[in-house]
Amino acid sequence: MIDALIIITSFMISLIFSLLIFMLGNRRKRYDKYPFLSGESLKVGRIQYSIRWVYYVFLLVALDAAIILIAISSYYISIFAVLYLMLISLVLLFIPKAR
Amino acid sequence: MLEIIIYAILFMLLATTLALFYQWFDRKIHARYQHRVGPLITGPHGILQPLADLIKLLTKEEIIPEGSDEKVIYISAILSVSLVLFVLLFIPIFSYKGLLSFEGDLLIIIAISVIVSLLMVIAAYSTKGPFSNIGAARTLELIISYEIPFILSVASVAILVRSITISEIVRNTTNTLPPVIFAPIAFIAYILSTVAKVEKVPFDIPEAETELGAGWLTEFSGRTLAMFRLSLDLKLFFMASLGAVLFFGGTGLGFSINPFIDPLIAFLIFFIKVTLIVFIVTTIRSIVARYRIDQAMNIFWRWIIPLSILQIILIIVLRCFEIVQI
Repeated sequence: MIDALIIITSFMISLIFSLLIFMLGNRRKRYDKYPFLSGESLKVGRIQYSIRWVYYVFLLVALDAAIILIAISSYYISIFAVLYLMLISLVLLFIPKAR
Repeated sequence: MLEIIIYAILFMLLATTLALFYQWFDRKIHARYQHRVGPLITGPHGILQPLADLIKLLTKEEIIPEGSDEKVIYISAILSVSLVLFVLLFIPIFSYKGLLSFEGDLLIIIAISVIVSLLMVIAAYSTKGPFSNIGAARTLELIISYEIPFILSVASVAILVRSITISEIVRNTTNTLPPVIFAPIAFIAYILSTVAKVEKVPFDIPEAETELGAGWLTEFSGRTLAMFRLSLDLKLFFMASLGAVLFFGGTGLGFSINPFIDPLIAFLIFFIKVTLIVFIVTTIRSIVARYRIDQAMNIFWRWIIPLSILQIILIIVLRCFEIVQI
């Protein structure tokens, strides 16, 4: 319980610390009527890419973080590490082909 | 509790200072490789140049391009700094134990370090600029390339040392050979992942300045840009610190000289190890040209990931036959 409290407090301190740095900066801002910082009045060109990439990355990262818990928290039984590698290899097979 | 708060604030100030110092070190060494002098004017040998750059960016007027999602950008900018500062609290600098330490803290560090990369992608997608969008798409492609070798290299050390707690890893590797001796492939994978994570050449593809202006950072200005730049500096320091802890035994001294001097010696040992890793990263970025995104993916997927898996299998064999005693 105390550990959790210390961790939450530390996170809040880091948040306040970075917020302070941010607030120290110049607050004056200008809203540009153009979509580019350079101020050019060009048409917005969206990049052609598959949204499946984004979903895939999030899936991979989520699975990676979740499975590593099984893999290396049971470091005394190496079969879990092998299982982890097999699952990662399985995920890699599902990489979107088209972009 | 008050003690923790004071220590945390002091630690964050120290971490920010060290991050800026390593930016200067990186720029200076990179310049020397190119027969330039690098930062020179601000402070002795230009050591205050990163701080001057940060202050300059913070004091500049901010321009919000039309159609940008301002709130998402601000939240991403603040969180990208605070999350790296938070995970740095787990890194032991003055003893074998970090300011924060609990069972399995290595996993938390890994998970949060991934979130920081994703925050940058989210911020870049919140603008309408094509350079930002291409930069963000490239970052995503790079994440799926370097994230697996990064986790596999960390897992190699965890399996070798039989611990997922940083303080235990440091304690267990203090009086033995450093894990880098038993896991050299994992160390190479870790260094390459670090280069990709902090977006340095040859993996600076998301912000390739000759192709994309500033890449995913193109549409940011003023204090938002300052925060993202600071976050990248902190990330370099964090990755180098984690590398020093995992592969070189961190602050490990092995014996006690004096309770007052020990923390200083521990810090000095840690500082030398981190500097060595930053030097390796700078050397790589100075001597190798930028890869295209498909080449970078090929390197990670065809070489680094299989080699990292091989490294894990080797470590499992070493552990099964009790060849390594850590």
